[in-house]
Amino acid sequence: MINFFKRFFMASIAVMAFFSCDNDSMDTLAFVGDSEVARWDLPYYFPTRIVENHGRSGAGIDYVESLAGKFKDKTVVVVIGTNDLYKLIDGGLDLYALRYVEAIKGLGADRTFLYSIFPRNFASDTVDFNDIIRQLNKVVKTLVAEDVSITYIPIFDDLYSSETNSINHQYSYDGLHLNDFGYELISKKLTQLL
Amino acid sequence: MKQYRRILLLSLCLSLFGAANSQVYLGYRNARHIFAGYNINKSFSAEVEHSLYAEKFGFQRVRLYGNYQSDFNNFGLKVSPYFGTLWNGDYQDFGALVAASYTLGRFTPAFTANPNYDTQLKFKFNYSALLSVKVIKELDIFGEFTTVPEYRISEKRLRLGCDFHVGKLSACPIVSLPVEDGVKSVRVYCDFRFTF
Repeated sequence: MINFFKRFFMASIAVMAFFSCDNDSMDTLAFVGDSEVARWDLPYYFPTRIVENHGRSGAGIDYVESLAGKFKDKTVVVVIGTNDLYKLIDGGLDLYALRYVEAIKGLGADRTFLYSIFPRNFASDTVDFNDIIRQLNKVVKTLVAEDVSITYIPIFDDLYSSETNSINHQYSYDGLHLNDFGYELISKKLTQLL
Repeated sequence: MKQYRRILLLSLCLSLFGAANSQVYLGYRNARHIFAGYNINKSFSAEVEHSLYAEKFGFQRVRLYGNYQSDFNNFGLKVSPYFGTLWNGDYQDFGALVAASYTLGRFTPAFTANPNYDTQLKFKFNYSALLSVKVIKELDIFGEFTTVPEYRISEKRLRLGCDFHVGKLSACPIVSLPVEDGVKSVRVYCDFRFTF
């Protein structure tokens, strides 16, 4: 029995020695956004990474603005915008897009992964927001294109169903919030880029 | 030099497993880990756990456990020191799970202490308190409050489940609920373990 524990101990030491000269430079990932972030089971989908969840249900771009400068030298993942769409029904999309991009830059992160706004078809939606989302995503994508610290993740088409003109119901039960399949998809997209 | 280290590691692992010729068990836990172990005798066992994360191989985690288990009348004790690492060496963790239980008729309260050191997150003391109730010979139900990480990061969670054990097979469906403000992730697992 003593021999067994000796061997186990030696095996552990060997494993430690084997890995000890590799670097340990994994970044902390800070997730910022609305309920899509708040409901995201980050330890489950990113089990090997250090993750922080700064998601807040109902949050809009003003929430991101309130976090200005709080993520210096960090890697940030942002999902935001769907709660502000009702403000854009009567126009103002370009101004909002400028404010949106400034808020993202204002976080001060070293590196930012910005998801496009997800498609939706929520029960309380009084208008079809998906056209507005498409236009807004297009403008935001253009605005961040030349910023090397921002990686834009165009996820709209992956989540959208043209048959129903809404979020694919495989990925959302209520037409707004992602379910496990939706989170699996967006997590995979991010993992591929990390 | 790296090649020599690989050979050393493999030799030690092989000698470790060669030493045992007793019961083997295999299992699956927390939806993302598989494990295999050897029961050397009634008290000692060694176990290897490997992750099944949706990541590249370098980001998979392997963990080695040495287990000591003993029963004194109604009192049970299990001590499991462990060492884990990602294959790409980004971080290592080591610590121990020290579990004590006491059986009172159908009821078994248990407490687990888990000092854990992660090379990036540093030291954290985790714990869990569990109450298990034997319903029938083949079925226990349990509730557990725990801060022991299911993956890497420590979270406060309430785990409710049942343990079906028939012959050499044990199946354990679990619902894991977050108990921290603002966290909305409910996890559902079905752990398995089969002893050959």
